[in-house]
Parts: sequence; C-alpha cells; structure tokens
Amino acid sequence: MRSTKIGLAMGAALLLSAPLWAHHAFTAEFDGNKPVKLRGTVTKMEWINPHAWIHVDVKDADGKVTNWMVECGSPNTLLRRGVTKNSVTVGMEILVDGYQSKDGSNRANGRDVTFPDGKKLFLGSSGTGAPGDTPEK
Amino acid sequence: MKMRSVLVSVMAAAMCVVTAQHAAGQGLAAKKTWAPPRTADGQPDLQGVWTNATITPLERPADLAAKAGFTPSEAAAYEKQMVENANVDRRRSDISTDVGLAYNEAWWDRGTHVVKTLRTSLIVDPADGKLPALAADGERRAAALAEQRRLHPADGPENRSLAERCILWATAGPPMMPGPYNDNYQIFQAPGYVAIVVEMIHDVRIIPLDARPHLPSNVRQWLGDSRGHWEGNTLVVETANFTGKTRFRGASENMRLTERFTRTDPYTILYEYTVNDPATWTKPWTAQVTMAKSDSRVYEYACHEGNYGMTGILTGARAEENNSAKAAAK
Repeated sequence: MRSTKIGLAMGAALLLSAPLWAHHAFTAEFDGNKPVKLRGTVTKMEWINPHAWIHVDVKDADGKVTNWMVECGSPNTLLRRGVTKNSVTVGMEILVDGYQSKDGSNRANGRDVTFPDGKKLFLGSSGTGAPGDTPEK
Repeated sequence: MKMRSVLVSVMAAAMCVVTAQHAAGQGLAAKKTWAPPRTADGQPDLQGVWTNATITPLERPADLAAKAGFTPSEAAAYEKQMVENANVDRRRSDISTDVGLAYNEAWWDRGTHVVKTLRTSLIVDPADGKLPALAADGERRAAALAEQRRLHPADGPENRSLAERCILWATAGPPMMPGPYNDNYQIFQAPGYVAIVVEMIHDVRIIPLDARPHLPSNVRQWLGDSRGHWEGNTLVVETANFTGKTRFRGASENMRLTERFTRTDPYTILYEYTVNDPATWTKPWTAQVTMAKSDSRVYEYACHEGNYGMTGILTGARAEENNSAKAAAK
C-alpha cells in the first residue's frame, strides 16, 4: 500500500505540472518582464466571451489617473463559481497582481485579484463548497 | 531490509491493480443491465445537459503505468489530494510559466472527480493508456506545423490556433474531450436526428440517423460529417470529411471517428470513441469518458463578441518585432 500512496502523490504532481491552457495563450499577450501590481477603483466590468474584463482607474504617486483593463476567466465559468454582477461593482477598490501587455498598453492579466481586506475575489474553487460543486451522483 | 520492503510494496501494488481493474469492470457491467427511458418515437433517451469535466488525464501518468484503475477508496484519496493541491495560490519561479498560468485554480472548472469507470487514463486501448506511436506521415506533418509556428508565430490571425480565432475548441469535438472549463453539452433528439449543443465554442452538431451516405469526399467540414445509428441502447456515430485544418491532436483530414453513447444509469452516459487515422498513428486508439447529468444549463459562448485577446497577441508580436529591430540597429 505504501507504494500506492507514493504513486498517487506522483500522479497528482504530474497533473498539476501539466500545461493548462485558456482560450488563448497568455504568454503571447502579456510580458513576463512587466509584472504589475495595480491598486485601483473599478470603473466597469465587461461580462464578455471569451474572457471577462475588469476596468480599473489607477492613481499614481503624482495623482495622475490611468484606466487599466484586466483580463479575467471565461464568464460562463465565473458565473458557475458564484461570481455575479454584484461581486465586482463600480467604485469597488481592488488590488491586481499580474503582468502588463507586450504592446505596452494599459492592459494586464488578472492573475490574482484581492480586495482591501485581503479576501481574494476568486476564492471558492471546486471541491471547496463553491456553488455548483455538488457531490457526484 | 530496504530492498525487501520495496519488493513487498511492488507486489502489493500489483495486487491493487488487479483488484481495481476487476472492480471497475464489475461496476460497468452491472450498470449495462439498466434500461434507459425512451423518447416518444422510441429511441433510448439521451436528452438533457451533460458534463464530461474530470481530473482523469487522457494518457496514463508514468508513475501509474502499472495501474489501469483505482479502487473506490484510492479514487477518493486521489480526488481529495488533487483538490487540495489545486486550491493553493501557485506562483512559478519560471516567469514564462507564471504568465501562462494566468489564473488561480478558481478560474478553471475541471471538476473534482475521476471518471466513473475509475480508470487512471481516458485511453483504454492501447492497454498502456498511452497514445500509439506516430506514423511517419504524422511525424512529418507535426514537424512541419511546428516549424511553421516557429517561423510565423503571429504574422496575422491565420497563424494562431483555431481556438484563439474562435473557430474550433480543441476538446469540443468530435470527439468530445474534457477541457479546462465549460465542459457542457446538451443533447436533443427528434425523429431521425440527434443534435448535440456544445458550450465551448458554441457549436451544434446535427447527426442524421437515416443511413444516408456521407457527403462526397471533396466536401470538408470543420466538425466533419456525422452519421448515426442505434445498436441496441447504444448510439453509434461515424464521422468523416474533416478538414485538413481541424487536426484533432495532429490527425489528418482522413481521420475516421466512431463514437458510442450508452446511458448506463439515470445520471451517466458512457461515451467511448475510437480514432482511426493510419496517416497519423500506427494503430487506432480508443478512449472512454463518463458524462454526468448536470443540473446546470448550457450558457452562450459568443466568442467573437469580445476577443480582445487576438488584438493583444498581434499588437504584442509587432511590439516585440520593433524592439528586436531597435536592438539590432544599436
């Protein structure tokens, strides 16, 4: 049984290291050399396919405001995860940790989105009691 | 002492394999005796919304090479471990990988279960759970495509994948494979036809059941040309006439696909498909996926609606070219 346990552990590790791909290659769109941390105020949420976008006003040290677009996951999946139009609303403050677009425009991937109190927007993954995550029949 | 312990472990693992295979086979055999409900015109009823989301991989992981199936308790332990491992905020020191990861696990929707057959891979034939070796022609085409992508990664949208172009989704089928999210299908039946709505990337496959011949061989379609018939309670669908650009896992346009849909209980369709394409693989291969009845519904997936990603990829490629040109001029 001991070797079985080891086998299971290795199988899990392999699956996690397998490449996950979204609708399109984020590596082609965003620049690994341009990590960004954006703290800003939501101005718009676009619930569109193939990926949703959050628009955020970000104020720099001099008080200048720049509007950024932040790319999210598939709206269909977000909805099934329990993210609704009430989850991200205009005026809400968020912190985005991602990478800027390769063309230098004010776009970033929303790798992690956090609220000021430290809560993650996208907590509640499968297997954690998220909406729709019902036991298999 | 250590060596002996390893030997004992190996023997125990081998016994577990036999037990698991037996258990998986028994479960399916028992379910096959269940009689599905019928539609008004007498077809076995496959209608409804189904999901094939699963954490079971297409090919068997190397460390499970000797293990075709889990026992129920092993499957539960594997699922628990997978979910725990997945629900962490992963960062990678390799920047390129970290960008590609893009989301934390909450943005994916692969489900939390292995397939109901408890197999360790979707592939059931070959018996090792691996894709067969590529045929010479398959290798040649794969190399040519890789070279084309290396030389012309993003000259224009045509260089990008069909998924990025909102034309086809690689797992949406046919054949229908579990993907990272939106693995939802709705089956409709009408006299003489079965129709399958695929959430990703919003396609509908209409399958005539009246034994009409396939389209002429010079007519090629992204989803191929499907014809269905019933063998007992199993819907059998034969598909041909794919395009040379469809390329399911590198397949040629002459790929022949046979799918089998069998409803084994109120909550399950056993979906099996065989890929036959001598121009790509040295022998045919077969995979099994269990589809679970879903309480959800199929949502719209209007992919072109906001495909800002394509713009971002192409402008990104131009920016990189400009940067390279500037660097070369210095």
